[in-house]
Amino acid sequence: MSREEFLRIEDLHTSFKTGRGIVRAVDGVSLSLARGESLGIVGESGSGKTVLARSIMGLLPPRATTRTGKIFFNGEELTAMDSERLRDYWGAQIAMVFQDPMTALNPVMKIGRQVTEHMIHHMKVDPDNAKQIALKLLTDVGIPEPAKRFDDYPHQMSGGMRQRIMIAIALACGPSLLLADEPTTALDVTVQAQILRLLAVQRAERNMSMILVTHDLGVVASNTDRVAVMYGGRIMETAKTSSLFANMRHPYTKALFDSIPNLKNPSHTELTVIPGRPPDLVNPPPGCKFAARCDYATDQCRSEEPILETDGDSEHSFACWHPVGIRGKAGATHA
Amino acid sequence: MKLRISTLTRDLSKRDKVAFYVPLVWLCAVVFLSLAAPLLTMRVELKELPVVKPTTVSTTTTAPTSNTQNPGGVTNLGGGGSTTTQAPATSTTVVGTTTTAPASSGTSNEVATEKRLVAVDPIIPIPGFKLKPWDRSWETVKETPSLRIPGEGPSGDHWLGTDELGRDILSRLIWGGRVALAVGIVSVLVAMVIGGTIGMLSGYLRGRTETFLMTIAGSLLAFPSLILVIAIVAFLGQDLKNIVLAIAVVAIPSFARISYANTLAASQREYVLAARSLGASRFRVLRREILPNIFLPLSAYALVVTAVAIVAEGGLAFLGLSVPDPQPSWGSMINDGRKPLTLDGTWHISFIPAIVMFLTVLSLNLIVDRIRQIAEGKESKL
Repeated sequence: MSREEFLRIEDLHTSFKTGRGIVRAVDGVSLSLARGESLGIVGESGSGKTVLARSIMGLLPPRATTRTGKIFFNGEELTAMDSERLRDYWGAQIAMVFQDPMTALNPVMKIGRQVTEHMIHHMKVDPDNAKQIALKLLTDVGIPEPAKRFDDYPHQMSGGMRQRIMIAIALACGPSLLLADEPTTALDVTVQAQILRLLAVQRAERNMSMILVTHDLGVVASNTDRVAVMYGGRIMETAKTSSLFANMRHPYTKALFDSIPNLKNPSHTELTVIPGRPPDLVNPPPGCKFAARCDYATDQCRSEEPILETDGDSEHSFACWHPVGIRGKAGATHA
Repeated sequence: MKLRISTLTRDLSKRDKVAFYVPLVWLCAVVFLSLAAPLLTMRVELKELPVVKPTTVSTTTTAPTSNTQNPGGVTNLGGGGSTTTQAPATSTTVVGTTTTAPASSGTSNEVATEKRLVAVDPIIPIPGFKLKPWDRSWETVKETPSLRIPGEGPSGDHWLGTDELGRDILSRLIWGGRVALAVGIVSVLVAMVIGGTIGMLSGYLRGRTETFLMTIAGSLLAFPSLILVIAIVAFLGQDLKNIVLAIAVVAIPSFARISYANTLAASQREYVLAARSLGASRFRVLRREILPNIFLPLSAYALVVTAVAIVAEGGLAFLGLSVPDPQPSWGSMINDGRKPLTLDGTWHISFIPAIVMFLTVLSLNLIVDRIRQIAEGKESKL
């Protein structure tokens, strides 16, 4: 890829040691992100999206976790830093918005304190200045009467409000990369739209890169420049958002898309589902991880693992022997 | 988090409110009386009083007379070594005297001064509340048989009667409350701070720290606590400070467990991860995120331990291992009454301190229950 790379991930593997064996939650992911670009990571539960986001951050439980591969952020190799150094990046340059605003705020600390605390720490501003910045920030994220809310506790606020607070906290130090881990999953649909719009506006204003982790293709479609579809700890397909939705190559992407209920369907239409369950990441099957649930799977799919390759269009790559809509790599050999 | 009394009693029925406020008033009274004991009770002071010597001091006593006559002199009062003279009828009652050097073999009728232990009125006298054997004079009173009537029932002079040595039970209860308070508050605070820190470090850092600290705590917990307390007190000496220390040591492991368990739960919460993602150091996470969240369960437990510690001190005193004898503690007062109880009908000597200890512990437990209800309500909201 020729464009300026702001974040580059090379062959990232993250695995956890459990009682049953080693879980390969992220199994060889390579990604890159330009400054100001927004990348969506889509996949069902257990596909490794959240672990990927946390691996980028370096926020993994230290015990029983191994992470290999390289992550370059703005030219610096994050994977080579110790936690002392990383702490200067965390919050200041890379920030994270968590899934559940109900649990991600400390219940016994006032909102104002939670917004200002790391500002004082990272930006070395005094508490009064920090408060001024925080009030401005709270206004920006759409908290009415921020001065009144400043001394509230999290339980005095609604879920949407709390997620706004979380976003304000994440934006406080002006990070250049925002990792949003299912920021709207715990919210109802109208609030979801507001939060996503807020993220989009803030991203544009700050020229901030964003990785949006979600299981909702709809969220991705309207909020990201590029999409990576994950399954079983691997990237199955990645493309520009518009190109992905126009030509889905991977059967998994297609299946995910098809399982979105369509409003035009008559009532009592059976929902399209993907049969089966995500693969066991302790003993992953040989071959394509999706083969067991794929309509087009052949013996080759069950024995050989396809690699992520582009097909003419350099921005669109997928890992499949039998891509949807075109003759695949396997097609030639089997014909 | 604001914990006002009004929030504690908010949705209580009238009967439950009584069950909350009565214990609270009782506890406040115990704490107040114990703390204010030096102000409320009569004191004994060493005063130089002019004494007209009826006879010449003929003996040519050498310089530090007092020391030779009364070994240890004033400071030895606690040991009960002082001689006691019947006081001249003044406004104050002289409890013990120590003659200071009348110096030279002088003339008769010379005005000499004499250091005497004088009972002084309380600093804050409450009408009708003049406690008879006065503050620390429990030592002295032991030596003044004329002032006491042993085993007396409640009367105007002694509201709760006197004990087997004729000491006023009410004043001993009040002074004994200080021991209960010291054990119940100081030792529990010490145990809470040390045990809480151990538990937090083990629960958050995990790994080797956890194994090391929790093994020690587990071993301490497995050791019979009464034997440990007796061993510590026997080794360090019978002293209020050592008793507080011994009870604290015994309470540390259980605080460590409570704090460990709560830290484990709290550190799994997403806000801890969120704090780390903002660049908070370990110490900062412990102090700002975890500590405030485990404080409520820990302090509710601390109140339970306070009650246990007061009872433990009583048990220790019953074995004769609490504060040394003349100094009163509730447990030793119960113990004091044990022998007379079998001899005659002076059951109140044991019974009254036992009731006081019972009510105090019961009150603590009632209030803890209420606070814990609130704490659990808060917890479930998270």
